[in-house]
Amino acid sequence: MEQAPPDPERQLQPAPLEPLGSPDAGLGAAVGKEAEGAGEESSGVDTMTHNNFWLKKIEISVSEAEKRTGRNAMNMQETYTAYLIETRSVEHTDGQSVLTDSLWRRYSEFELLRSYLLVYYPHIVVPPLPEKRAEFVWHKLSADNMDPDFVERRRIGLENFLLRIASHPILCRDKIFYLFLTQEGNWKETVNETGFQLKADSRLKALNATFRVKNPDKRFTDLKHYSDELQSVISHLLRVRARVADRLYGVYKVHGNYGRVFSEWSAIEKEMGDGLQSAGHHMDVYASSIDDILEDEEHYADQLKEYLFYAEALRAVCRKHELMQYDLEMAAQDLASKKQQCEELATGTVRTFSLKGMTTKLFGQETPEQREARIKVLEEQINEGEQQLKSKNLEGREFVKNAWADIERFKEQKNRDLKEALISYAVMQISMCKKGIQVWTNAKECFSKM
Amino acid sequence: MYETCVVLFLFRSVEHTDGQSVLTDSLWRRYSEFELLRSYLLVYYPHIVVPPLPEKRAEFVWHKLSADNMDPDFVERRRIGLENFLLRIASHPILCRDKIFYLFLTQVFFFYLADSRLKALNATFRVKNPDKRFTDLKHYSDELQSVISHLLRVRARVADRLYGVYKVHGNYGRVFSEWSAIEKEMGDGLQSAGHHMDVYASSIDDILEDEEHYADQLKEYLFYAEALRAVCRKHELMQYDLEMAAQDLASKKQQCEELATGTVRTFSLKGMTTKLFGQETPEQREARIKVLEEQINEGEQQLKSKNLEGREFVKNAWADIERFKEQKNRDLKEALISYAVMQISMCKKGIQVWTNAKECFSKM
Repeated sequence: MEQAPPDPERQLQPAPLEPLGSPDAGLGAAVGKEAEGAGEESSGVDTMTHNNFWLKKIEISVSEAEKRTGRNAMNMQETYTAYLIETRSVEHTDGQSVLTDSLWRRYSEFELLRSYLLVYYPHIVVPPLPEKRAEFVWHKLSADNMDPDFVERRRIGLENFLLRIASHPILCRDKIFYLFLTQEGNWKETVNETGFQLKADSRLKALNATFRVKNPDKRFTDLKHYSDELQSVISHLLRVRARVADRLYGVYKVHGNYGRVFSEWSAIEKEMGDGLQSAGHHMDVYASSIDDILEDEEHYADQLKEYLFYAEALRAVCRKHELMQYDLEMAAQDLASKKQQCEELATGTVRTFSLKGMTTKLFGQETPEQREARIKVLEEQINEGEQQLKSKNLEGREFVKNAWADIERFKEQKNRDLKEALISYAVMQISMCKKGIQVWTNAKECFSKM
Repeated sequence: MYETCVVLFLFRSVEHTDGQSVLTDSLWRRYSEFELLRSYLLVYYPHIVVPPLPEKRAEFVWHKLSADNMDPDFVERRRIGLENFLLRIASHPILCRDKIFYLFLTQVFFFYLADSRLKALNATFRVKNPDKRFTDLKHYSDELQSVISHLLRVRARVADRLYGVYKVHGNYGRVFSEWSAIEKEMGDGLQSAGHHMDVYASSIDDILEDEEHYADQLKEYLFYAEALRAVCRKHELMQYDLEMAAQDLASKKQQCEELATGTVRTFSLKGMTTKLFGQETPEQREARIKVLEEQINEGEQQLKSKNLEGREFVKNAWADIERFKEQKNRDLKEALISYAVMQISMCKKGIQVWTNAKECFSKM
């Protein structure tokens, strides 16, 4: 039943992993009742209809967050937050949902899942996790990870992360992902047993590749530039948004002072007293309305932040490509060098440097038998090398094809989601102005009746 | 040191049958001359709540405005304030008929009128039987001044923060512009949205210029509170004067009685010297009694007229105070309504801008 995880080197076409649920069923996703992310549900539905052998829909939700204490790897007491993941399968006929699985996970396990996916699906733009620590906070919010508001927003972010994976045509079929949702104990061991950490490319190697690639693919270079610029723009946007939130908060709260002054004033006036008192009340209502508004507004900031982190995921795909390209170039170079050596040995001319060549010069010619032996070894190596180069080339082309398919999918998702986030922000601003009109119209009424 | 000369184009409108107005007089006055006019009115119409001048130095400024008296915006607002001051006087049933006011509008050289009574207004003294209505009025004017000060401070803070919010939207404009440069499909939409953000950011300057006007309306009443207190002080002064005169009369009557009966109960220098240097003759005593009786007569006349003056003052002052109260309620109500209307208009502009931005986003 347990299939060995496929070799990542061959993970270029999505291997038909063991499907989930029932033999012919796969995993689609509908938005769980707690979720507020929107864009991905339509792609989930599309995926469903595309693979029309699926019989069941599955709902995933991260429904609760709980503070826990435990012992860490160094046997020291620590406090952490655990999140409840509930999976429900939806009956096709009557739309009812039945709870099929429910387990608790902490943030580090989500991180593990993502690291695994990054290694096994290098051509996929893997959905990012919500931020580990609160950043781009405007002053009022606590930057504390234990702060209930932060925990709540993280809960929503983690749910969004799972939904993104579940609605991805390729990632949704991954076994480890399935186990993440269903197997509480031992899941960490199972992941580690895949040995994915060993297969992960070292950071240093990747960096090296960036500088050494001779023939970079322009499309990937452009994509990398784009992801840098997107990250920069979204950072600016988030900073501006934090400043706007901060100042809006200030404006609203200062209206509370109006409330106090009108109250004071009403005490000394006879005819105007009632009017001023009522107006003061409206000012207080206005001042306190900002708290809810900015709580909602935090949500749009989170939508933007997701794409800040998606930029990094994009860059990861580009880096993988560079690495493969570098690898290929090195292999080709090595092959060419061996061929050269072989030729020289055969013809007797020495043009390329080799240790054997040097020692021969220093210590005397080798025998014809020795030379033959060496040529034979080289020819074997050249054969092997040519095979490897051929398969690397094939891999490379497959990678580019699949990566580009996912990048196109990602671009459309990004445009949809960001457009929606911006529209939501505009709608929120309009709603704020409308509330302002209401409050000041009420105040004007009070003044008119004085 | 120079003060800016403020130009007034004054015209006494002489209404012809066809409603045309004709410029009859025009001259230049500086702020100190306005101050002189007001000082004069304070002295000669102590029972009137004399309209106040606009502030001498810019106060309750929120950070953007210059606090400099030479600042063109400040000078402009002062011009409006001075015009308002003259209009208030001109529309007052009693003050508008004053000759000096007329000369202020028409005669180029305006002479300084020194009056010791002006100094008396600031003297401190203790009244034995204060009129409760005036005491209450004084308390009210103190409290009104306090409330309006608070209101102006809050208003300055609101203006300051609103300015900050609007200007920061200019940053949105910049970011959207940046963003539009790297996107293909969303480029145009983002660029247009950025433009709307810039429009929004720059709209605050005009809004706050208008809003300054409402602040000035409030400030006028801040200074009116002082004018109210001046009337109360005048009343106290008159009351004190009356009490002193009554006391003096009573004392003289006492002395007279004692001289007539021969008993000495009140202290007098004459009495002391008599004790020390011997009794006076009956003729001397008669003479003194006569003098005292004359003084008493005079004193009674004076007291009667002071009482009459006092009652007249209270009657007239209270009439003007009632007029003032109604004016105050009307004006402040209007100022508050205007401020609410301004806020509503700001919100409406905000809705417009963000609806436009939303349109841009939807079309992306």
